Amino acid sequence: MGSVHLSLAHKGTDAVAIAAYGSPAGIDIEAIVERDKDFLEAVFYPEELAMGGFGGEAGATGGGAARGESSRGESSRDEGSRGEGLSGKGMREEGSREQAGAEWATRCWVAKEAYGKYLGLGLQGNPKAYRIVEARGEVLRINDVVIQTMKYKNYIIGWTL
Amino acid sequence: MSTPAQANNEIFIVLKQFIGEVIGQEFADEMEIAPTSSFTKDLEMDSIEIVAFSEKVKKHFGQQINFTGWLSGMDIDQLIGLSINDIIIFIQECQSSK
Repeated sequence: MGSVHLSLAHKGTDAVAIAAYGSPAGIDIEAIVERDKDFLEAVFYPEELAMGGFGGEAGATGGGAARGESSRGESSRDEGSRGEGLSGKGMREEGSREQAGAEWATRCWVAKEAYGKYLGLGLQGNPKAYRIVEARGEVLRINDVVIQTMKYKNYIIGWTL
Repeated sequence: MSTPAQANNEIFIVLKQFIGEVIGQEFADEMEIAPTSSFTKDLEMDSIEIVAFSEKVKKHFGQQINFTGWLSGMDIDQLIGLSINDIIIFIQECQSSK
């Protein structure tokens, strides 16, 4: 009671922090890039992706495209400039849907990470240990902890409330 | 038959390739990735990259190893200090016990 809790996160050169008085807090920041199917399946429950409107369909359409782009997507440490190029021309329809899927998956990731930091445990090597049970717009919930998320530049930032 | 040292090196080459796939080959080429490299300190990988990497390890060696279980048993300091060698040794132990 009465102590100040700090949580910090960074991606590349961008950093975020949160301070809370009297209760723990967790924050995370992650770049929005497409993840391949194996990653999505390992990290998320189908229901979590479905909350953002990206259920099995994303997996079906994502198979080929995600595999081809996965290494580039994941490699984009510097704000995914290559990723923008890929989704920029000629495939805007598909690109925007994939972009929305990538954004939602990143939101879910950030929520889990922020929750793990709130607990002081991290992801414990298993992102599925924490399950998102509710999503209302940009506000997600894991167990009884509410996580606010927001998009900033090409990042998702999320913190426990 | 390969010697333990050869098997060791083969695993290292596979792991190094996965690291390149996750952080980007151009970043990986700039780094001197050695068996002693630690994921967070030397390779500057963050958690999402480490999870993506572990998925590739699991997919490749999946039948032989319980990678998630092994990682789950570690505390945060062990995870932060994790090196490529730790994983090579773990994989070899799993393979030799089969």
